[in-house]
Amino acid sequence: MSEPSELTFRVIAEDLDIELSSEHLENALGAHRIFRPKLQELRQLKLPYLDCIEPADVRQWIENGGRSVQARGKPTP
Amino acid sequence: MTELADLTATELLALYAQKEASPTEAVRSCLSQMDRLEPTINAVLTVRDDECLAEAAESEKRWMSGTPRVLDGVPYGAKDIISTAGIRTTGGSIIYKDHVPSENAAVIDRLESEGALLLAKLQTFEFAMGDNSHYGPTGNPWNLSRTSGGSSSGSAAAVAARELPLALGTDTGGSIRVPATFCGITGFKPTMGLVPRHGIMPQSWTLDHVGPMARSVEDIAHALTVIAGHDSRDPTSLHQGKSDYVDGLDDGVRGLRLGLPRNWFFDLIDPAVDAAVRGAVDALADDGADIVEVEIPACAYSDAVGWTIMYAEYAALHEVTFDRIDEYSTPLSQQLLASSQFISALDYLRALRVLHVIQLDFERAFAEVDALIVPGMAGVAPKNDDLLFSVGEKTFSWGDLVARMTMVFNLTGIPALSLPAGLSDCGLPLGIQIAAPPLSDAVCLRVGHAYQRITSHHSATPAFTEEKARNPG
Repeated sequence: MSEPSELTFRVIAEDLDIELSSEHLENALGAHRIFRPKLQELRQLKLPYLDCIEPADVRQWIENGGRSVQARGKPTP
Repeated sequence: MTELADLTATELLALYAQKEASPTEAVRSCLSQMDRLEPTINAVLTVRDDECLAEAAESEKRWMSGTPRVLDGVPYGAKDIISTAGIRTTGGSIIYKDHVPSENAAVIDRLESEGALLLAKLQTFEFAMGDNSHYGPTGNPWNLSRTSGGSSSGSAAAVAARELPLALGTDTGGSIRVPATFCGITGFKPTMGLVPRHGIMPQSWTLDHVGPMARSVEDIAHALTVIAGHDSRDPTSLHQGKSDYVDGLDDGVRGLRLGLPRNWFFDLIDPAVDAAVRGAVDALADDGADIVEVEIPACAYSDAVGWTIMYAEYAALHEVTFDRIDEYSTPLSQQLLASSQFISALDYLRALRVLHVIQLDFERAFAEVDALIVPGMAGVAPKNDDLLFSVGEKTFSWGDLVARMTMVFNLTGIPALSLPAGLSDCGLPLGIQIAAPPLSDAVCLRVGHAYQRITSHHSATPAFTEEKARNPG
């Protein structure tokens, strides 16, 4: 999978209506390139549609002392 | 005679009770330690000397009249992202250099109501992110050329250097436990939502925690007893009643099952840290704990999930000052803010959902054990001038390793206690963490206290601090 280029980032910044100097843009891209392999790994993890996991489950699990309210299947990485 | 500044909060309270020392004397002792060390360490941003001495006199009256409160007369400091009414709260940034909040953070009110004395506002990485603050780096009292870690840099360094017995820090990816480990002190990130965050400059509403830093687990337990509990002003605050975390501290580890993860935490670790963790495991096993190996595969996602969430929420929170990016203090701070703009909504939402996948893996592990024992950090404190971690023969950047051992407990909301576990060959602190299921904060403290009863690593004084005590000039 190809990496985003400086032009990609420039277009995104323009679309977000933010101004970034060339130096900041280069730095942002540099940081993204270092981080990208981990991000790609995360993107490979497909979460189920049925028996959906949603962000509120996180909070509920904590309130419940670290126990699932109902058993859920573990997504396959 | 031992200086009062050398004593823990628990020891000070015992002396006050016996009328062998007074809060005023303790505050003066901390102030003279600051006078000696601050020009070099730079842990303190604002000192409340006169105000604190006046409050100490009031505290003394309560002790004399037999009406002391839980932490009466204990001097403490607060990281400078924690709001203090009428006292500037800079966030470590030039942007908020003149910001004076009109109300206290919830944790400051709670400490004040139990008699603790706010003596200083302490250094923080800028907005609790990055590497340093606008107000310069904080020296590590064990070796001034090394970083104190962060982002609660001033809290850790001031407690390690005996400038204060107790401090408040905050922890989004490890910001209490990283500097606690590097500076050889005890730091605690409680269960997510146990301690209210109202009045604290946010970095990530999903991951931010606030907690105590001290030189013993006993002190942590005293402080947690005061600051934990529901506050309706914090939407993440749990509906938990008040607990006494000092109760049960002495129960020991006999019969407890302690889990040693086979994966992630030991995949990338300096041999000295590895040896320190194994030593701690042996010590706790000798004390009666059962050691069980466990597997927590989803930890492998923690870096990607954590940084994605942190970046996205940081970008959202800082949109009001984004056009002042060039005023952010360090190249790393500016880079983080610039990079944070490019996290996609889908990546952010995926990360928020994967948090629960990681939690489910921990749930499986905690079905077999009562608590986990893991390294505090992958290596010792890096040098201030390059911030490179050495792990065996290899070097890694700050961003690669700084949160590797700690972030996963922010993601899951699991409480995690960092404890000193010895010194490396070059005299730098090594650490371990004890983690337990959410709301089992007392189990972390019980194991940590047992460890500190059978070892003395937490009592070691940094060489620089000792040297300054001998030769103040």
